[in-house]
Amino acid sequence: MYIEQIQIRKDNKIAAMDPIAKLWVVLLYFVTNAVLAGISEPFGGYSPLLYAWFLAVIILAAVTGIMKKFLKAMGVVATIFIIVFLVQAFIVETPDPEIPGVILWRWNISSAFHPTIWEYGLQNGLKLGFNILNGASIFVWLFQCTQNKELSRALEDRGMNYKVVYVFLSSMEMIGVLNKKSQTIMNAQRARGVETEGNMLVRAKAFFPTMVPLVLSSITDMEERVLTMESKGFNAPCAKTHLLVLHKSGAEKMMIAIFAVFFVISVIGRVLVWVL
Amino acid sequence: MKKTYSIKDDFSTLAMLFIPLGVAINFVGGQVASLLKLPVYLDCIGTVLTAMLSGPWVGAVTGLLTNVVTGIANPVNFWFIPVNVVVGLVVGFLARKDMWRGWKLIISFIIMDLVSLFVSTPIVVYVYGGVTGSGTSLLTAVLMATGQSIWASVFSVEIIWTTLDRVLSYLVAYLIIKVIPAKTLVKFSLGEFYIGKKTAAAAPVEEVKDAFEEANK
Repeated sequence: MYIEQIQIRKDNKIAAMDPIAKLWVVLLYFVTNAVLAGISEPFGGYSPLLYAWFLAVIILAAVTGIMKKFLKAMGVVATIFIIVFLVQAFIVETPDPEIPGVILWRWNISSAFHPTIWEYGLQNGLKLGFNILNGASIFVWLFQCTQNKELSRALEDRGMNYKVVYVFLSSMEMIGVLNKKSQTIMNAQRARGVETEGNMLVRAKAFFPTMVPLVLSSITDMEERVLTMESKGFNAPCAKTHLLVLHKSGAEKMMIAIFAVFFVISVIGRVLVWVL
Repeated sequence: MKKTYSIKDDFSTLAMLFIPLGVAINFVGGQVASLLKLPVYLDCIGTVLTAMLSGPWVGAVTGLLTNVVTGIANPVNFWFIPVNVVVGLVVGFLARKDMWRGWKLIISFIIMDLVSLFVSTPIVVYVYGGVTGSGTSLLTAVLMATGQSIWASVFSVEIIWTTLDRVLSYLVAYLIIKVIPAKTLVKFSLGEFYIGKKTAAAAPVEEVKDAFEEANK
């Protein structure tokens, strides 16, 4: 029997890796991150290894050849990093109210207002900030070099239920569809006189005439889709055929090995700090 | 007859299509709220709606998937997965007990509020150190700067905004359920709870009844 197939072609070997191998890289990066965050005693409370670990994602993005996309997607994460860092550095004085905090820097504008950077706050801000930054950026890397259908196809190959995969992929589709529909409805409601600008109450009142028709029409559509899916054998108890076929790129073992080595080294380092 | 539930029955083909819709409603709700420049997120309408109609497990999956899918664009959302999952579970279990109508609403709101606060506050404190960067968290920062403890500041700000957010989300979800035709509602596992009152109050049914009686005279 002839079954049609499609493939996703990528020139970069690391970008073309098997999605499961990429998930392993993410996992190893995460655990290494957690271990590195704990090494702070020899550096007087700072964890420079954790901060340096962020470079690993940058290098990873560079060798994967997705630097532009990566930096673009990092914008939101970077904003949160800055906010978390600033708030901690300027507000948090000391972990224990009994012990006064150490002042690193103070700007004496007046006796009442003098912005101060506290040592504990700075350490805590860097630690929280880099934990968020590292954890988020490895996922940014994963999703910038992997299409959702690749990832879900790979998970299905490893035994995930096809219904779960369908729900996941369909969610991604639905967001686009509903977003477009909501704009149409909003324009239509505006045309017939619903005000979408003005004070808060006016704007809040515009929320309902947008959401209710949107959801209601989608739910009515859903019933028809159930019939369609049933008639096309979605629930049929047999093996399913696939359009998309995945191939390994050959870089999988090497990448997992690299990150495993980093993990082992970090654990050894942590133990040494703990023992010595 | 007492109704029994099984997770397998909960995940019917209809529920399978309802979950993606719920995820999209969550996303679009948040989008429209920010387009209208409202100070609340309104990004759990879909979770509340699916949980009210299809039970806790479908609601929880909707919550989980919402944060996974939005996390692809902004991985910071991954840390808030437990909050959305818990909202789905709590709303769903309360819906099975038919707690989302009449005076029981107040109890349901208090339970939902407290549970989601107990889940979200530790995440905000331990992961973000109190300030997440959203509009409301600036208030938390101000409170922290005046010398309040981090737990007290986060809790007192979150309790106001979470309550407001959840009440509005419920209101939208309930309005939607009220206008879903009974023939559709009956297909959802918990849909029948919302039918009785509505069909009784619906004018056309009365008219049909009158016409029927008149014809039979």
